[in-house]
Formats: sequence, structure tokens, C-alpha cells
Amino acid sequence: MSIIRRHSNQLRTLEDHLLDMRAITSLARVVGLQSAHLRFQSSSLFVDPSMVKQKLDSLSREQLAEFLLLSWHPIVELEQLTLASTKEAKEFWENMLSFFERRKRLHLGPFDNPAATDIGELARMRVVEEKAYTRKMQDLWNELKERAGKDETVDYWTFIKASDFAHTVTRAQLVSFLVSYGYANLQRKGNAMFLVPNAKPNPHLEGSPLSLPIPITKEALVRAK
Amino acid sequence: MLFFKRGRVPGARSWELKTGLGKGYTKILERLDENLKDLDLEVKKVEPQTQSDFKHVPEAGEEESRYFVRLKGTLAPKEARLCGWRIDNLAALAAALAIVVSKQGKSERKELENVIGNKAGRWRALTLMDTFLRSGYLEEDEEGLVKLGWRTRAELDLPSLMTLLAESAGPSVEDGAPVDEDQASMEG
Repeated sequence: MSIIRRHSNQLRTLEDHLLDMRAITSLARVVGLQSAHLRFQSSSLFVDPSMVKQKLDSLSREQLAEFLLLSWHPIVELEQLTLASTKEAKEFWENMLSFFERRKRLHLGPFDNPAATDIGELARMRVVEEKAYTRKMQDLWNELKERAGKDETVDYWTFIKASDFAHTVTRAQLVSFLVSYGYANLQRKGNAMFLVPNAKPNPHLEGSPLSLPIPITKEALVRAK
Repeated sequence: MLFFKRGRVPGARSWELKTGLGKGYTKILERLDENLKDLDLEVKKVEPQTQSDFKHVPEAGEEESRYFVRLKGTLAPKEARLCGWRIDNLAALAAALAIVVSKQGKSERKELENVIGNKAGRWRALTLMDTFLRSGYLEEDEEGLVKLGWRTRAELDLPSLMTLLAESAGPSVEDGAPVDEDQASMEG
């Protein structure tokens, strides 16, 4: 302000005066902001943000909820139909075009009537599974027992190999569950892996003792008979 | 006029009350306030934008003040649950309000989501922020900064909340660590 005052008697043109006014307005804004800041600091709401964060981190959800409840006075709000709102709703309903009229405006083409569908179609659309997962596992376990026959073992890659890659992965996943849940055991002999079906499920109650990641590679599938 | 919700925001504006009750509407409101005491309710006047930014609004005017009827006392946790509030949501609201207040009335949305996320899980934090904005506890301005909403100014005793927070005891064992990513959101 003292600088502005010092130069005040040197103001000659309109531009000088406008510049002077702009400087004073800017100063007034700074004072205004300082005042707001001081008012905030002097209120009981002033708490250091980092301290608040620290407190929030250290407090439990229950404590925080309790603090809110002790400071909370919810508004009473009642909602009900009034004569005016009912009239408004009736007018809206009466003026509203029919569903088909509104649809026409969107140019959506001919209207398909809703039709019923069945499980088979939903399965083809992959909305639902045709067979429950447990049922699939049961079937695969029976297949494994059948293919193992007297030898009681089946080569892992030969067993999981299917007509396409997606089915192969699905079978590999199901086999992993068969092994995890004790329906079969996986044995390694050198580079080869064999599945040995159990006559009865023999689950590992304390979890599987071994985790064996098996990458499904093209080479392994080509080698499988 | 005060009890029944007629628009998006409950309560009634000064000019509406003036039109309906006449010039002496403040006297009538004082009388109503006295009568409501027996029901543990009170009439609350909220001036436009006074508590959120701590700046004087030049003559925003008495006309724009809004009057609400609110609970005079407070709710117990059990009562809050009966109103549909979960402990998680109450804690998240307390945390969000405390952060906004400590930042002098404005805070970045991301920061609030992080703080709520530590208490309620990240995904739940996103939905809770939307809920608080929709219900009027918080407002988002054109710069994307979050400030206190009309409902906070009407329902919350912020000095009390901040005092409780500032005076709260040190770390508690239960909630020291952040909640697992989606733990809270699994509850619905």
C-alpha cells in the first residue's frame, strides 16, 4: 500500500489510474483471502490435515462411526402423494405416447416378440453351463477309471488331449480338481506324467501337499497319442 | 412445508415460508421449535454456503436460507442401522467430512477415495463417494474439487465432529491395517 501511495501523485493518464485501481483491488482480494483463512484457523474446525489423516488411519471404523453419530442430527423427511403431484403424474401419464409410438421414433426396425428359450440354447450362448461342474468332474473321473483299466494308469497328456485347444484346457482344469480333491493321483516318471484314479475319493484334509504347475504347450500335445 | 419433501431437497426456503405464513414466519418457526422439543426434534436454519468455504457471501440473502426439521439429539448405532446406515458407511462419511473440513472446505476426490478406501475397500470407496455426492453430504464443483454439501450443513455439527476426532485416543489395534481390497464390498 505504501508503494501505491508513494506513486499516487505521479498518476497522469487514465491508464495509470486503471492500473492503480487494479493493484488496489488485487491487494483487497489478498486481504480478503487472509481474513477467510484467519477466520477458519480461529474456528474450532481448524485441525492440521496431516494430523487428521493420521487420526483417521489409527481409528477403527466403529470409533469413526461413533464420532459421526455423536455429531449427527438427521433431517426429518416425509414423502407422500399430494393432490398437486397426483394431478401432475396423471397428466404425464395421459400425455405420454404409447410404447410402440415411442419406439417408432427411435427407428429400431421391426419389433421381435419375446420368445421362450431352453437350457440347450442358453448353453450354446454360454449363458449357463449345460452340466454342473461337480457332474462334469464325476463324468471325467468315471472316464479316467475306464481308460486306466487294468494298468490303473493313463498318460496325463493323452488323457487331457481333446479335439481342440479350448476343450483340452477345460479337461486339464477338471483333472487338476480331480487330483486336488483326491479322486486321482498324479505320478511323475522321468519326463512322463501319469494319472492314477482312486477307487474312492481320498481328499487331503490338510490341503494338497504339492502344487504342480503344468504348462499346456503345443509340443506336449503333439507328443500325446 | 418443513416436514414433507416437495422437491429434491427437503425443507423450505425463507421466501416460501414468508409467502405461506406471512412476514412473522420467524416467530411461528420459534414457536414450532419449542413444540418440537418434546419430540426431540428442532428447526434448523441453514444459510447458503456459509460453512463450506468460510467466506462471506455478499447478501446471498435471508431469502435463500433454508429451514429443516431435524433430530435434536443423536442416534445410537443400533438406531442408525435401523435407518439403513452401516457402520462402514458412517465411518466413511466421518472420514470424508473430516478431510474436507481440514482442507478448509475443499478436497480432491481422489484423496477422499483413498482415505475411504483404507477403511472400506477401494471399490466400496468409489460407490460411497457417489452416494455421498448424490445424497447431498458432499458436492463436486466445476473444478472437480469436493466440498461440503447442503445436507452436511443441515445435519452435521462439524465443530463437535472435529473436536471428537482431535481429542480421540491413539492408535487402536483393530483397524490399524488397511482393509483388503474388496473385503467390505463383498458385503453388498
